[in-house]
Amino acid sequence: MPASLAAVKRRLESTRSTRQITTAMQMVSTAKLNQVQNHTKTYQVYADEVKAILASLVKSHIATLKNKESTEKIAADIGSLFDERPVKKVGILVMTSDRGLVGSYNSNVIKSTLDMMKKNGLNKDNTVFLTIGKTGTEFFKKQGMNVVFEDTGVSDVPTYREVEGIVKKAVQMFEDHVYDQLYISYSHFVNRMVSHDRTELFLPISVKSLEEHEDARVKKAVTNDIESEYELEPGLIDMISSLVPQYANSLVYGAILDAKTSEHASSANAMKSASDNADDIISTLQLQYNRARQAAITTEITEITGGMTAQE
Amino acid sequence: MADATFHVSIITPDGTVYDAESTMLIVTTQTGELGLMADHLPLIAALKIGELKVLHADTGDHDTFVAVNGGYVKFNGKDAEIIADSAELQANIDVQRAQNAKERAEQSIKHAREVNDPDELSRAQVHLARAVNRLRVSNER
Repeated sequence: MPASLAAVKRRLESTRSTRQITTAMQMVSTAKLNQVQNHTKTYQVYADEVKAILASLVKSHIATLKNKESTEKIAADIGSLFDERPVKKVGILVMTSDRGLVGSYNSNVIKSTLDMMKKNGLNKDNTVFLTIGKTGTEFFKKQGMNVVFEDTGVSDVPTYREVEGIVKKAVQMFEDHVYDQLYISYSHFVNRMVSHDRTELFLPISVKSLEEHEDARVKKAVTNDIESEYELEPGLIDMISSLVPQYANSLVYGAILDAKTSEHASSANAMKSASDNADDIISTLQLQYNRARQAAITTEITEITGGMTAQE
Repeated sequence: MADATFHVSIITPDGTVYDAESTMLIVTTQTGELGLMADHLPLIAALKIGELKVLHADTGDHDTFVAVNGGYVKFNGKDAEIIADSAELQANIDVQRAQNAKERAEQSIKHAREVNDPDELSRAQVHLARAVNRLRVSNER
């Protein structure tokens, strides 16, 4: 048995205390995950409501345009957030974590961003970055990218009030022509074991997807469109233009929540596999320790009996 | 005769702020104040940054005052839903914070006027309107 008794014992103890830490962190992450999931549920009620109304109104607005003009016409009427203009600059909002110990969460998000840039032929001259989270901020700065907005220290369960500034900034920059398209790169939470990294186009808002949403709703609920059911105050177009920013904000906030949920899930998973690994190591070390102890005892007995034989 | 009641709920991204029965609801829409009672015509109205009053004549409870930042109200005759990106009940308004926000907004309005930045000006005006609205609602009796 090569390992000395004391050395094995020291490693065993240190692995045990590491395991204690990772188990505790796993529990903390799971608790945070539960909190953020509850919050997401209440947010979802709000987001669905806003989306349903906007979709219904946009649909009836399109119906009123008799000779189905192009979507540009719609954009001009009801707000610049629908504006599909020639793309000179692209904005990417990247959501990463502030802390480490979240497994491959950050590297996956960054990888998905870089893949998207490669696919669309984006480089540092035609892309600006908005970054939430330390890891992403540091990475893209080191790459020499143009980071126009950064934020760190978003809390574990971000409320709308807390991140309102970030959300509005992202929408505002689109309207100010800082960029002509806004992508958000984040990790979408599927369930506790699975997340999908995605880089999606958020702005301009796609009229087509709203139309599809409304079609699906009408098919399912067998209700009339909202315009014929409700009286609108003020008129249709004004109503839509006041709803659009609210909708855009709710989309961006939804992505932030989704990313946070995924971050906690990923952290809980990373800590779980760390604890599992520690368990493996502990059982190997325990075996080594027992063997070393047994070897020591055997040696001792041999020596004693050896001594006894010598005396006879 | 007791007034008919209807259900009022205020929904924000941070959860449902308020959820109760009422006899009359007064909101500040973009075209002016609007009172809603049970069986009012189905209506969707865009709201301004303003005050919202929920009256409880039937139970004799105190009226509820809420500071609402935009959004809209959707009323189908029986249920009124207010969907806004933020709304605070009178009791939950942080007066100190609103006061600070008001001063900050006034300063940036001044600054925006000096450097002639229409975007900053309009944003600062929105902030000011919100702060003033919160302060006003917090002083209602």
